[in-house]
Amino acid sequence: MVDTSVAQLTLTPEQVFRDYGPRVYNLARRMLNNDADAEDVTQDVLLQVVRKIGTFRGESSFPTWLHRVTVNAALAHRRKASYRQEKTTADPMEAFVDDGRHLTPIRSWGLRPDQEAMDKETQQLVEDAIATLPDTFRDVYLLADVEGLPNAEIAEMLELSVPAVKSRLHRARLLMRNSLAHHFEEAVA
Amino acid sequence: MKITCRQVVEVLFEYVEGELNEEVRQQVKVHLESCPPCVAYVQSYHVTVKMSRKLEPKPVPESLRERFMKASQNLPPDGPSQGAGR
Repeated sequence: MVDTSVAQLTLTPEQVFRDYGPRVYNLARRMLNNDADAEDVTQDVLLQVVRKIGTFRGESSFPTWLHRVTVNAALAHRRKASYRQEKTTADPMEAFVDDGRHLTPIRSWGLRPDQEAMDKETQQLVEDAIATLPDTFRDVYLLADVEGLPNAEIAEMLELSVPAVKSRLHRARLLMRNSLAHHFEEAVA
Repeated sequence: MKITCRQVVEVLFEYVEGELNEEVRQQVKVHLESCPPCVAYVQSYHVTVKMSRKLEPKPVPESLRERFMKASQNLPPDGPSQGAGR
């Protein structure tokens, strides 16, 4: 990654593609659930980067700008393509009986939070779970828990309040957890 | 006051983000001391977030690189007055 804390940024198109292509492409791909559309968005965003990179003079705002431009381009592409498909998902807060206990048995997962590398199969399970999230939850989840952006920044990008971002993120995490649970819960002996 | 599993899940975001007030945080803590399903639930919530942060990027298709390089050669120069789009 290029150090944006120094002097004016001057990069060749090749460098722009190498340094920013993967980040832009993968965010667009996950937001749109479509490789071809992600390629179109990536092309548009990287061309904007080539045109404007010289206007950044060592400003740390460049990564924020890049995220924002990518999100805007992906959202515009989604609207243009009219392929917004709101998926119906089970409400995680309905998985309880009347007295507030879990409706189904909850078992430990065979994974630990500090476990380092993920194998390819596990990576794909997580990618698939993200892909099944409804758009409104997936956008927030990607920006917060995959990209690691602060909630306030996400709120600004998606034109939401910070409480709305937190609420959607919580819901998205519950949907993700439930989606992955049957893959990772340890079998009962 | 005792809280239910459902109530624990309801406040889980604030609990893991450290945003709960002390009284509710204590209630969650007490609940977790005697509820193995909720302990497993909280642990799996953490794992889900951790795994998402570790997702690796897929490589950008070579065909896109070629397309982008071609397009970038025909790009008109951007005037300084247009700024950086902020």
